[in-house]
Amino acid sequence: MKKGLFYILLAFVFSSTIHADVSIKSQSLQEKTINKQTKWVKATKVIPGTKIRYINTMSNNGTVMAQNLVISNAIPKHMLYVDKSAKCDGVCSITYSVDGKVFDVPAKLFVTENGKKRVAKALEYKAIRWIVQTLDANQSSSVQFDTILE
Amino acid sequence: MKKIICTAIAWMLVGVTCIFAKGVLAGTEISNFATLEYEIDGILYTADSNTITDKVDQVLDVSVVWNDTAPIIVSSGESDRILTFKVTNTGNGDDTFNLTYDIANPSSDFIVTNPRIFIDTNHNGLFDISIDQEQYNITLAADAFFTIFLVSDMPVESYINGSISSNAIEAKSTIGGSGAPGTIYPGKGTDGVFAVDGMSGGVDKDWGKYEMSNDLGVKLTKSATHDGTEVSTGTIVRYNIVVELQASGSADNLIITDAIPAGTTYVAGSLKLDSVSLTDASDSDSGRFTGSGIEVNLGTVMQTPSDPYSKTISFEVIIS
Repeated sequence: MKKGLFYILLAFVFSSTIHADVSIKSQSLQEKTINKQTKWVKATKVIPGTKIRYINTMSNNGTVMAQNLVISNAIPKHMLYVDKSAKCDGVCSITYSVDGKVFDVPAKLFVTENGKKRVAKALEYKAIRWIVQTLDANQSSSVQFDTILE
Repeated sequence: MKKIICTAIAWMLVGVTCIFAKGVLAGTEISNFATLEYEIDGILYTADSNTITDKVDQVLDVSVVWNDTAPIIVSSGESDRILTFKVTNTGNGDDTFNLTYDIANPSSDFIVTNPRIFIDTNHNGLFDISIDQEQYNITLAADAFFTIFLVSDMPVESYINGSISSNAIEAKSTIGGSGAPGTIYPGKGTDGVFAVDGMSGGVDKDWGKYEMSNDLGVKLTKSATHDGTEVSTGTIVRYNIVVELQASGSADNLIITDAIPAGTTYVAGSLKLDSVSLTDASDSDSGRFTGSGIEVNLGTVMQTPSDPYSKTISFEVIIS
């Protein structure tokens, strides 16, 4: 009984020291020329044709490494994805979806037009998915993609 | 706002791309959020991002296009002649446009008078004087258009054929319309968003043309008279041909011919123009007998509303 209680207490103590807390924060930016330099600033003036950059930042506020982080972002309605703009800090895999459900690399994404199947264009993507292998405790990492307002 | 979006606007000289775009309506909310899944020691966790919402600002743009396929043919002194224009809201939100005319183009050969602007109230593309309203502003939703008529009177003076008068309609946004792309109007757009003058600067103008007529209608009225009540061999028949013009303007080298009717013989020396005798021979006067008919060259003829043209040619034949 004492041994069982010991293991229960040990498990309790062990689990209470693991703090899983990875948050994700999204922001939208647009380009602006300031003193002849082009910078990305918070998006405040958005008209058709404006390029908006969405940045999602993961922060591991916990005490242990997080693994197999999967970030999914649907392309906002009225926005067109800019080809090859999806990026991440460090190493990641990036896949896309034309239906919001199935994700794959661009060469394997198809749509049907006039009854014929063809490879999807970037502006037809509906969602993006990044997979980051690890994120250490007290570390942050961002993924991003660009879009253009219709 | 269906067009190639290529707005290099002052406060965003970069970051705007030329694309074929539908043009999202001003005030539309664009929202984005992301989801996260991750594992810690084999346990799956999820997290959602905040939702980012941006509101689409309003672009002020307008297009004015002269819609007639060719210059409108007019004559001196005519009233209420029409130039047709199409005014389209090429921005992405509702806007009211002030309409003005410009009849003072320095390249014009003649200046119109009494200009008025009418809108195509019944949207049939045609000017209906009893229906279409004289109006100097229009409110249009994004992508909507109105047909606009510039109605003017022509000068009474004569001008040479082919003379051109250029006249314009201008439409200007009442939200902006500075003429300078990129001019910002904070809070003036739909739902209080920013408004900004687009590539047109929120104002546009196009020129339409009137052209003085070169096509005059010639009206010939022929009558015959003779003495007595019966026509028989030897009866002299007198023919009168009244030559009139059916529009204002001028024409060159107007030649009138008439064949001698079968069964008759031309009376030598009977050809006259406005009671003045013309010789039968081809000489310096304007008439001659060709052997089978008469021919009178009236030369350059001109008519104005205050000075209508009319000449009478007469000749005689004998019933054979």
